[in-house]
Amino acid sequence: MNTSVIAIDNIRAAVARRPAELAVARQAGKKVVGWIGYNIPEELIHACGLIPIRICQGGDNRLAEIGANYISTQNCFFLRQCIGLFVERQDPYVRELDALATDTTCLQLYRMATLLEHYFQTNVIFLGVPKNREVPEADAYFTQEVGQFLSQMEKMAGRPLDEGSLTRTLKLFAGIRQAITQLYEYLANDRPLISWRDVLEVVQAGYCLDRAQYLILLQELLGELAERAAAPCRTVERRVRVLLAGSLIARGDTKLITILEECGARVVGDLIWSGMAPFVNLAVKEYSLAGLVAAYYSRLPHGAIPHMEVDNDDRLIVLQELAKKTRANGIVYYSLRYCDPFSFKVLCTKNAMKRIAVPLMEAQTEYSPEDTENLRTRVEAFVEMLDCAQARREWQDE
Amino acid sequence: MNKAKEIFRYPEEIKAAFLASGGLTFENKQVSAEEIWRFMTVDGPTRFPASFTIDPNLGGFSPDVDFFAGIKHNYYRLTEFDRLRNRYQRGKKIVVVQDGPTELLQACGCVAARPPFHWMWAMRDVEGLSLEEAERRNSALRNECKKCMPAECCSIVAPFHTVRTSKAPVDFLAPVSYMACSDAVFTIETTRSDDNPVPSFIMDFPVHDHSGSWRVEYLAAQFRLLARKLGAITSIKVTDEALNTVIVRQNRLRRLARECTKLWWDAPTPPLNSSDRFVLGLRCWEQEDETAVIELLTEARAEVARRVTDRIKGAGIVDDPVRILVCGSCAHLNAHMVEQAGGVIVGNEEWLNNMTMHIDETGDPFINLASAACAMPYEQPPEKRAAWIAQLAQMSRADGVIFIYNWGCNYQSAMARVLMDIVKTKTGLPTTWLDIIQSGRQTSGEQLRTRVEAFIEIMQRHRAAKKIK
Repeated sequence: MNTSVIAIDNIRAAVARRPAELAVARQAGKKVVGWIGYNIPEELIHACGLIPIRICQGGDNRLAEIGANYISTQNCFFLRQCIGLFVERQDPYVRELDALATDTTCLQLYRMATLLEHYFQTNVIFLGVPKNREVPEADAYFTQEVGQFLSQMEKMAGRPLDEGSLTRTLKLFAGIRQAITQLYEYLANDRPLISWRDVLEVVQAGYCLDRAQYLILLQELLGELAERAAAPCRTVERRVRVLLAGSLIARGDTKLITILEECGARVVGDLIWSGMAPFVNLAVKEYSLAGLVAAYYSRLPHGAIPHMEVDNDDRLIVLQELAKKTRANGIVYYSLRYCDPFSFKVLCTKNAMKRIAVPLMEAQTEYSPEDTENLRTRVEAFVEMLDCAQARREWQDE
Repeated sequence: MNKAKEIFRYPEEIKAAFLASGGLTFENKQVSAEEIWRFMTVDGPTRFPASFTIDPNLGGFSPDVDFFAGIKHNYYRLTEFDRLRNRYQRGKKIVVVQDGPTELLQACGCVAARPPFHWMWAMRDVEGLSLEEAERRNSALRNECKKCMPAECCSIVAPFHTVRTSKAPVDFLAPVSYMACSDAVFTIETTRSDDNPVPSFIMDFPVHDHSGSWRVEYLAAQFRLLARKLGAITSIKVTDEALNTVIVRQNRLRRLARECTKLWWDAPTPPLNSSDRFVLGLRCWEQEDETAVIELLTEARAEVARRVTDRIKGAGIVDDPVRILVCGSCAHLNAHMVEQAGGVIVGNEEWLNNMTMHIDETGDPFINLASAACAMPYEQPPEKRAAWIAQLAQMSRADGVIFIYNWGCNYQSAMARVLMDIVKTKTGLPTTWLDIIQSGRQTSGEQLRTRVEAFIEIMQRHRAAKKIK
């Protein structure tokens, strides 16, 4: 696979420039709203003329240790690291924040935000997310919550939301979602042009880049990939095809993907909330505030939203469809230690995947390097098992 | 080792006085003091020998045999599953809940089963177990549940899974999500199955406290829908009037519990030890034995009042013990261990939270239920909750505050430091937090003992320093 894609280098360069751009923008009076969570309508931050930045750093055990001075070690590593980021304030994006928006989807995250409010006087804006959609009042509740969220954004921006601006933002974000979906399709190709590691880097670049510029860069990337796809002499990739699911894999959390690559697996897709999951089933059908609320209300539910029926659980259905679409040999379920919304679902997800004959392995890990070799042993065994099964199938086919 | 020697026995000398103290009323049937005495001295030790261990470190009964309401409370606890079984056989529906007000379930004619219910049911299925045998059974049950759950699941909540693995009955699953606990809902979710579906309705508690009324309306709408869903299995249509009647009764119980607790708090010398003080906060109003509970609390109040007048100290407490307020998750500190180290527990935040709740008795009862749930102090953001804990510390004249959480409890443990920091600033009292593993009776590990003893020493020095000043 040729990974030296020029457009990716351009994205990396844009990301490198971004902290300085943000500092300049703030000096010019622009405000930066960081967000962390799973149902924050980022579009509203953008449409109000504020700069949205998704805070999603992971993989740093040192910061997680610092965070553990404020929140207990029974809480997930990602959140502990988030607190560590706010303690140190060395991260260029955290340093530039005027406010932090968060939602109540994940309760640990909600708790963490209340700690940031108390210990670091962070201006936290909360958005309530209903988890029981059986009553019509849930819709009303979410609408009111988003309305309140918007009024806080308008207050920060010093002006009311302009309808035209909202429409332009919604179109822009729809374009980004479409581009990301297209990008993911290249991953599952038999003759891959891009690795999952690169795709994740591109997706996560979108957390901080100016969104209009980001769309242009994505389109350049898609153009370049399309050109390369048309070239005739690419070899068929024979490595084991793995789909990733489970907890989010934040920027900097490279342990699992490194091990997967070293073990000879190829990631052909994901359904994680730092990857593809935020783009699944999120379609704004009407370019208005009501349309935005409806889209977020009916999107793919996060693992923290309980669902008691197995046969109509969208999360399982989408994962099954994705496994089929990407022709995955197996699923690696990333279970970040103490991430309850996903770790509790391992067994039922495994059972659901068994029904379509796709094996699943839980990769439970944390940010400390201590379990690296344990994890490697498990991944190696799983990849080897998938490899053997694939070889057997090919032999039988022949 | 001679097993008989291990059995706790109530002394014959108290029998006459106990028999004169009267019995309890369960479902319009009087259980005489004679019957209670017989159960606590003959039937109980045979059926549940593990509960009659002589070692208070392992959860044995309080040594305060002169506190008769305490003996009756032990009877109440040991026999509650007999009554529940009877009710179930007579057609009562068992509904698994987690937290929050249970008035609606009672109005719907259901039994509200909180987290330990199914585990207790499964434990009580087999009688005559010694302490060791009970420990083994407890461990086996928990391990069975844990197979379906991640290692990090709280060991108190994990037994929720006995809903699937035991013979304990369940007609409906209706936990209130995220009140007090987040593991419970995820655990309930692991019980879902397509081969044996149990009807369910997960009540969503909107955690964030906005000033808008939509939070209460959303919760009230869920209470209404739950009433309809339960109505479908019980054929009981809950009217506002019926629900208000239950609310009035439960408010009365909570008021009585608050009065008893205040009496204990205001006493110059603790009139009951930490174990018996729990009787005053009796949290069994969800199990429909209201008459017995009222009788128990009334008797306890009278006994405490008498002890206060006569300056009688609860059994097992040292002179002038340091007073500890326990906050945090549903785990408990071993009361005996605390008392041995020179302390006494003045209250438990979770229980006081339930006791504090008052539901308006007029107007729309569904809105009133939702408003009361949203106002529960345990569910408030850090500053508000800490202010309430500080108030409790002041009212109970606590010398220190401990926040404890069970291993695996991320939702409450996340609040440990922040709450204790704020309480310390507000009250000037020493505070600390402890991570404990409560997976059975043997919760008082030596590490925990060391930490509790050290904290008690800190409180003693702090109090001495205050006196000098």
